[in-house]
Amino acid sequence: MTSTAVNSPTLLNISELRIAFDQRGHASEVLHGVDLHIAAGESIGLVGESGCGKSITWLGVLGLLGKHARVTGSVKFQGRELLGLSDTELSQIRGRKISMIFQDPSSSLNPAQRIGAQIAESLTLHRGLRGAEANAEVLALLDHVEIPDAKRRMNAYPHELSGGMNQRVMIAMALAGQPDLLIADEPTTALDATVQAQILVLLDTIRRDTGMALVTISHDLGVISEISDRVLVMYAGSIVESAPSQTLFSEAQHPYSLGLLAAMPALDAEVQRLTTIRGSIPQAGQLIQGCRFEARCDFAQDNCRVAAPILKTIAVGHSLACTRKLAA
Amino acid sequence: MGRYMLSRSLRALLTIFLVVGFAFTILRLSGDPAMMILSADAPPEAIAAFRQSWGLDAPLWQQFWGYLLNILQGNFGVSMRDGSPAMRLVLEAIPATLALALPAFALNLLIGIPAGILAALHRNSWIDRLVMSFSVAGHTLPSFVLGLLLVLIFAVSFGWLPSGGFNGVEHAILPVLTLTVGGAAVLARYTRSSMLEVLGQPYIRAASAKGLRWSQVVIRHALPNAALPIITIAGLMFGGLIAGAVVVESVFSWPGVGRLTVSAVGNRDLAVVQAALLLITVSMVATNLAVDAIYSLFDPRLRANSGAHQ
Amino acid sequence: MTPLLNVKNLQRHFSVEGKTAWLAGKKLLRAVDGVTLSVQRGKTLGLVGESGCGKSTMAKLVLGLIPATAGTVEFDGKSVTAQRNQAWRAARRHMQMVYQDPLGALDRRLTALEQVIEPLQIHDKHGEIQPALAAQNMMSAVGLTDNLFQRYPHELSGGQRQRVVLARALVLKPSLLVCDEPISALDVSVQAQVINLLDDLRQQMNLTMLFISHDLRVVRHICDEVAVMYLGRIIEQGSAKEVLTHPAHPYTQALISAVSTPGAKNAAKSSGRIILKGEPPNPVDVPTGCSFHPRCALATAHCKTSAPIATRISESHTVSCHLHTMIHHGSGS
Repeated sequence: MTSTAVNSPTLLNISELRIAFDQRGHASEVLHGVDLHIAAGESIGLVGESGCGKSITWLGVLGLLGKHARVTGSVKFQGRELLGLSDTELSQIRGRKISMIFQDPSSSLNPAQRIGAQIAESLTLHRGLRGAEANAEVLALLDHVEIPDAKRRMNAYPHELSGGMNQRVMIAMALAGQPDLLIADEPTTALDATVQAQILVLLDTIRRDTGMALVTISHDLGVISEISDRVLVMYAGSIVESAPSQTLFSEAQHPYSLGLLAAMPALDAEVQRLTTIRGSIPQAGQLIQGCRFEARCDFAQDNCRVAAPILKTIAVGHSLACTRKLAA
Repeated sequence: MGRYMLSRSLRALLTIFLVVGFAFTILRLSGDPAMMILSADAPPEAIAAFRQSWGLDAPLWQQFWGYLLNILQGNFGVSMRDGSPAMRLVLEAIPATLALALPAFALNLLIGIPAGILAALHRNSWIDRLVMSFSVAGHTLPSFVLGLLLVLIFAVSFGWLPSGGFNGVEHAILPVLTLTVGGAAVLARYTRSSMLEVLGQPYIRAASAKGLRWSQVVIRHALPNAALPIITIAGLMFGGLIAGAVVVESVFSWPGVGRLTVSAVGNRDLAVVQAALLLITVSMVATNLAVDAIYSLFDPRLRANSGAHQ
Repeated sequence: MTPLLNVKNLQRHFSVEGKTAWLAGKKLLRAVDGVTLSVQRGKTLGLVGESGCGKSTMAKLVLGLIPATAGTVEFDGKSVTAQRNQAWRAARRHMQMVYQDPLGALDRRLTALEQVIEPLQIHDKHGEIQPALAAQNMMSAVGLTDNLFQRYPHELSGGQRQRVVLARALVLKPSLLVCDEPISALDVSVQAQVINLLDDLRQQMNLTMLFISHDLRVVRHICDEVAVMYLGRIIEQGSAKEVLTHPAHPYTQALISAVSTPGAKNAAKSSGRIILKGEPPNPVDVPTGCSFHPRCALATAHCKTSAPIATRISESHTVSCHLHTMIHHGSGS
């Protein structure tokens, strides 16, 4: 089931990543020490709700957070430390080694430029292709992402295409530089259900064909389970659990993971009442001493308030950050 | 696109008609030209004769109708003061106005737009605050105050530049400067907000994620999209400059269309006022039409069908 | 028993300017193209479909917010018109709507309590109900605590805002509640809270609901019946359990197969996954015959030329598909 051998080299290693924003003098930390690693060709999923940091992590890795962000820790990509690189150096990695696609494809494309030209821009930037050569490659990419009638569509503007088409264009653009890692931030959230299915299949196929690693970010556990081999559950700026897909859905340990799974109604089951997680997500930047989930946890104990839990391995490939369960 | 321009053109004609009609009516209702030109203690018969010879005793609608017919034949009337053709007087004043308008417009663009872009790129920094302070000062200060201040400083105190008149380049410097400050201030402000709005769009971040350097993102993706509202503002400003910067021309005794219109109004020189207004309206409307046309060239969304689509 | 809501052959067309409108004339956007459905008192009907299917237009038609091009809408036996007259305004207290974007649905300048009091002031000018008290009771019933009453919308979380919208909609005790994607803008854990809340309120107040959503899982959980829309027409309807576990129409089957269930196998490997070709089409260019035929793997020549009619395949299940018409009528059974 896992598509990567255990011996695959580590592509990306994130260690103790913290992100804080300077707001009028004081800094508020929104990411509290994230550790994760990705092997070449692996597909991982990051799942969580608003404010959990699943998107910010990657924007921080790529240096796209603007000048008010303080990003500390270590991000090693193919052995090279990314934090601390200048914007120019990072721009050589973006699109070329690490590509990112975003949630709303129609507004992530320049509305005043034809889509063919936007894809060609990446080709020129990363592979030095120009003119007829670039155009031929644009057509090839559009075919690869299964856009019908590519020759005509090349000259279309984003507003003339549907959401699903635009997402394919974004994927084509992201692939233009032949990256080793693709980050897909909520790639299907803004799309219709049947189109969602198409895009997920497409992403998976491309990953297998190119050997590229894939990070899928979503709030939808279902989407993640379709396409990711390993899942990381995030809450309020930290990773609370990490496990292979199948394991997470059958043997989740963290109360939040369990809560998320139970909160979703199923198509085939008859459930009278959904189990809910009481309370609400803490405000971004709010200072909490112990476990950030403690206020909403039905199993919270006294020592949960004392110190933040640390992510520890409990089984092969399965890590958990829960003071109570780890102590047991 | 054709339909778009056609409806815009029809609206333009309507605007011209309304402005001319309004001016026509107001001028005749607001005071007696006969009294103004002949002077208050002229004998009543002279006044009556004057009125008759100028057709001022006829009903208003008849006068207006006569006026419209004349315009269609190219006859814009003559000045009540010296009998010279009204339109000729106006046309003669145009070069003077252009001599101020064109340099001022160019400077507005060259100063205002870059200032606004810089302010947006460095939002909330000292550059931003500096530019915005100048911008606020620039368009709060009434142009006649600024004009007079400049005259006081450069003409009276330092004696470097003349205080008025129309005899050479050095006479144009102060009026152009006065016009530029106000115009650049407005343009800087609009440019800044248009840029800020575009910079906040998702496609800007996506362009960075593609691997473009920030300068490339700004030039290739932000500026073209921010240009659209700026074009509109710039177009309107140009129209206003052509209309004759009335206040500035008066302060500096500059013989342009603005000054001509003001003095004609004061003298109730009806034909000249109407001719000037007609010209000003036509130029404003034409500028707006041009802006609309350019706008639709830049924004592909306006060019395509205006109906619903997926 | 007369259903609370009765819709017959409802149509709503918009005329639209195309690229070559000058030459070819105006085109017609068939947002709702002949819909017949009914909802019994106290029941919940789910309306599902993708973008362009017409479900949001249905919501507005049912409430009388826009006029129909043809067909009728009856609420409690009386015809619903879109004319904004006295009668229309008076009818508002019996039918209310909950929207997808709770922030946009609330007035930024009113506190939560003021928003909920407003309907009472509009409809109950004689002061029979004590507005502040009634509003507070309703807000407590939807789970809002006292400290939130004086907050402005931007000071509330997404879930709290949607509760305010619900309280405001229900304070006059309407009989019909139309929900247009009420939870899609909320976080997953909050969605569950709001779903449970809707369920509770529905039972307590004997509400009749029209629940519009693209999320089949939620519809299965909360709706008694479901109608699947495609390009302005209902292609399948019946009891939620039956339609969603034994879908008859190929489109419904594809929709259900597109639902991602956690724990499901890898996308490319999962068997029985139906991937439709093409995209949800434009309601301006409705295909001939069965409007789904361009994307249907089972389409025949007949499907391209003639539009199917609704066939009853069981007591609580009808479908508009030639495959089923043939099965039920063609073999002479």
